[in-house]
Amino acid sequence: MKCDEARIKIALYVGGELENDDYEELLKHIQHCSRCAAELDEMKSAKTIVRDAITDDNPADLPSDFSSQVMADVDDIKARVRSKDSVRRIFVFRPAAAFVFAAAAIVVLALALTTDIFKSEDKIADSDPSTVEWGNLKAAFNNCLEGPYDLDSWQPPSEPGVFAVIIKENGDRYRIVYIDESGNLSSFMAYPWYRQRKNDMIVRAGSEDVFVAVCLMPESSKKSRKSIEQDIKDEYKPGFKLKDGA
Amino acid sequence: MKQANGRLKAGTSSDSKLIARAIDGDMRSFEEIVNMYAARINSIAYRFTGSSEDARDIAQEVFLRLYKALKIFDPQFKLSTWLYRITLNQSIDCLRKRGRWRSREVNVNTAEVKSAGPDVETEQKQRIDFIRGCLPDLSEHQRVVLVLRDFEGFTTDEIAEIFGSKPGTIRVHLARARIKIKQLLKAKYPDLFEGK
Repeated sequence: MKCDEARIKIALYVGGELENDDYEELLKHIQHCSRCAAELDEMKSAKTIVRDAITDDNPADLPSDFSSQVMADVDDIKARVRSKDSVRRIFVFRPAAAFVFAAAAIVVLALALTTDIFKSEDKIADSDPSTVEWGNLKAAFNNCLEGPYDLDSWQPPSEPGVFAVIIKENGDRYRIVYIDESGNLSSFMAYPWYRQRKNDMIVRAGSEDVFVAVCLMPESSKKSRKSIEQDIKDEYKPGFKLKDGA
Repeated sequence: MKQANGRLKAGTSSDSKLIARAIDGDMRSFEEIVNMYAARINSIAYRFTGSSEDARDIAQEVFLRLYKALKIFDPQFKLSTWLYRITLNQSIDCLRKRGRWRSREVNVNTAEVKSAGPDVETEQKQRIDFIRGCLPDLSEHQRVVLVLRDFEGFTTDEIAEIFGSKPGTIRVHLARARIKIKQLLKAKYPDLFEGK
């Protein structure tokens, strides 16, 4: 056994993670190597220093009503969702309201087509293919797209698929910053590899609203996934567009 | 509030039943999950941030994220693993936002003061501050593995599950992290290593 290897094993030995066979081998090495014997003593000291320091350092107990606080926050979230639903229900249960809204939309659309009021903004959107409405993005993936999911909370399944990392711009519009495919999304996006990527994306995009959209393709070939990936790349040109001052 | 150690119950059938019921809208089951894991999550977050306030905020955020993720949560996925991953993410984000990963300079200076006073409690506090301040010198893998194993007592198999990695890989990161911390401690407190 070489000293470099012995140092790794010593660091594991002091934490009780060394297998029996490795221990026997390490013991033999230490009997003939004074440097590694000294390293063992030092690692034991360091372990004790860390353990003693940690033992005396504990967080304050959570307040006794912690779970009630969490449940109150959950109720707030539910209330917000209900309020959004009630807006939707206005149109579901009141056809007259939907009719008035649709009529108003037609007037606005007619204005937009006959005047230049909205044209300049539309041109900006058209000339910036990397931002896309969710519905259009879904269509680009042949409607197989699921999401958008919060990148932190999403559990990548152990299935093949193509995924896009998207950043919310405004409303239902997203910017595709990255697109890739994998035969096993779970291992490909395993922690913490992907979170390091994510952090990099947040910094480069200047945004925290990072989501993932995924098209699961069970039993698909790499070639077919790559083909979808390339189509999306060609159409939307994923990448970072730094905002002003970024 | 002292609660049962969530890790011991992690992945049990009771976990699966609770999360399945919570997905179906049973808020009592959701609250039970909160009670079961809150202390453990609070502890992990504290080991990273060194602040009880931050740890409590992180714990709260983790459970809100769980609630928001319920509709897409796969009950086959181990709840504890999901919760601990989100806790780590939130803790690291918290430190990044507050620039605490770069705190060693400050801690080293506070540790200097300690040699003037013999107060053992203060000495230990400064040592843990120093150790926590050394974490930025480790890679992210090494840092997380060290905190989970040596500060929080997770086994290497449990950490491997959280990382979605192999236990052997975790052990290598752990060994390198310990070697680095030992070197930094020895440079800072040579007297504690004398005669070794």
